[in-house]
Amino acid sequence: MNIFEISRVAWLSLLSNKLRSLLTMLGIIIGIASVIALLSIGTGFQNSISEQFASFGVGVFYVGPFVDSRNVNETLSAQLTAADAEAIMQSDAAPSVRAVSVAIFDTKTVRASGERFSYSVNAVSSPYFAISGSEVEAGRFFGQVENADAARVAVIGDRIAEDLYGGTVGVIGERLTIDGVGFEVIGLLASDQSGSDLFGDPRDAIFIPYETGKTRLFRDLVSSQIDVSLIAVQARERDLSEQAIGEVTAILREQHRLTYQDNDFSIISLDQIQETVTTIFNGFSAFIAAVGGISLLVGGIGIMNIMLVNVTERTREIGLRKAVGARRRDILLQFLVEAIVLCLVGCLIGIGLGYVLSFLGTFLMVNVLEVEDVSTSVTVGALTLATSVSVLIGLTFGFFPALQASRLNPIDALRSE
Amino acid sequence: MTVLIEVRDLTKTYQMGDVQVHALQGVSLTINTGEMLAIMGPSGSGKSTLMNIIGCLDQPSDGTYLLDGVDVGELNDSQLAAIRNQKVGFVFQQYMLLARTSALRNVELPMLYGGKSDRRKRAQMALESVGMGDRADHKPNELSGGQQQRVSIARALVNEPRIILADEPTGALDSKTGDEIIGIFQRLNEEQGITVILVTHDLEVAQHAKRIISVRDGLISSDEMVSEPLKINQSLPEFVVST
Repeated sequence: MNIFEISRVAWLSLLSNKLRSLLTMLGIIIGIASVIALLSIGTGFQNSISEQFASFGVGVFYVGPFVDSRNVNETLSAQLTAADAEAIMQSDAAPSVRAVSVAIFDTKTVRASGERFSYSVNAVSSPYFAISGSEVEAGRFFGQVENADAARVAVIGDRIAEDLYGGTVGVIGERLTIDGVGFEVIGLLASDQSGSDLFGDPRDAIFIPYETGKTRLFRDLVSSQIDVSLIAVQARERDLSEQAIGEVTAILREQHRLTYQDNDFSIISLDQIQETVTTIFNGFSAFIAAVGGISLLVGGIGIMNIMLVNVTERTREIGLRKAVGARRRDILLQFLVEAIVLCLVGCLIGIGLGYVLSFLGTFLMVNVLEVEDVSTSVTVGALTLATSVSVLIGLTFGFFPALQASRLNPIDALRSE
Repeated sequence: MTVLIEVRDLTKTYQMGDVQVHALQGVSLTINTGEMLAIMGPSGSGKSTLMNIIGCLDQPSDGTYLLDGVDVGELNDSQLAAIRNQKVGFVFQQYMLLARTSALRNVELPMLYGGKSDRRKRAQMALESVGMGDRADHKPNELSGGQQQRVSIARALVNEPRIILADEPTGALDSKTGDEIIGIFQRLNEEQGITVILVTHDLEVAQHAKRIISVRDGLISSDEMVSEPLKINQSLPEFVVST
């Protein structure tokens, strides 16, 4: 009997008792569906998080003028200045560092054509745009000269352009004031730059030269100890961030003349944060896999149970098949294939259900939890896994009943009622 | 006439709980190709055990059984299965058709295990030879008892066996339909030379055979030729109309 014929017989036998087949498959269906749905939602979530991290720039870390301490003396001792950034740039002791930029930011009142808005204003040195991987849709970024001259120019996000000028077309050359200081718009950020960064969503931000901000807008934030909100550092390669962090720490400690004291600045590494998030997600995935696995195990036992019932019920059929020439392995194969077909059909239904659930999950995340940019994806890997696991379950739990069937004595089998 | 079945000093003992049952206690028997014989005996006489061994469903405890020159006692499970498939056609009292499966598919069943080609055509021909050609698509529950038994005869015939072993083939049928089934066996025996072994406890059925072997307490108690076998004189078309 060839495999096609065996599969046909198996299929017919499943159809002959649809309700029972469906109930038997339920464990497999639920197991596969939960694994598919949760894996796809997890993958979608993780993708969206990775994407957001990627939007910070590759191998980027930040140095901030704060100290993680409850001791007020220590918190007040924090220091970080643009001179520190300059020192890192100039130092020979930082071969892993590609670029350094400084930033100082705050929320300011912005005015154009009579209306006033409150926006995050970021005064950044020119390397910032390269580090964050920003692009302009129109106009240009400001450069080093404009920074040094404290020029009154601004690069704005597209949502700000909508607010201030009612559209993104022709905004280059328009004017706006920040806390009464007049600026010319020289650049419009591309609207598709993904995600946010530490300054918030760049689509809702205004960027001006660092020196301009320091001398004209943020005088209240600037002291002799601190004149930056952040220093952004980009390592030459992603793998070099650890090394770059070490180099930067050493340079800053030297700059601040620290010997035995703790750092009077903090380093925030996104790679580290992302690693933590990934670890959490891997734990989450493992948990889901375990839950799905238990469900599949229970489903497998259900399959075994029903296959044993099947063998008992069809004893006469087995006897007849043997009488007309079926060998042991023909019978073994027939019942094994039946169990596998049962599992595979359950798997297919489970995959379908998992798809529906993952769409539902995305819908909930986007509309109820208001998570942005989540697109669940059922991966080929997940489908392959589900299918092979089902076949394996069919083989494992179908084998014992099939063996029993194959070992039936044809005479007893024919005589059974 | 060539010897088809040669049984020498056959014994069969099996365990039933604590009791050893000596179902056959030394049976010797020779059956030639083309014979039509009946094996008779009350229940518990050992006739079913003898039939199972002749049909290669079971193996003897002791003694030899040569079928077509092959020593069946030496064969393993798959070789026995192959012999059942190629050389023996079974007909059972309860027909043993697969439910929810068309007559044609039922008849095809032995060929599935024999690797034959043209299965559909052969199955259709076998059905026609028992007058069931026009019922090929019917499922067993759409057929009368006599019709079901004819389908099962077609199934027994389809691999062109040397022997047809019929175990109480008329036991579940009324006497008229039963006669007609016996008529088919007579026809197969006479027209195609197939060896037919009827196992029955009904003397009237047995008298349609040319030879009657009686089994009692695990031994052959008598082995006689029937001087004038009863004849079912009915042609196939008449028969088809009547059932």
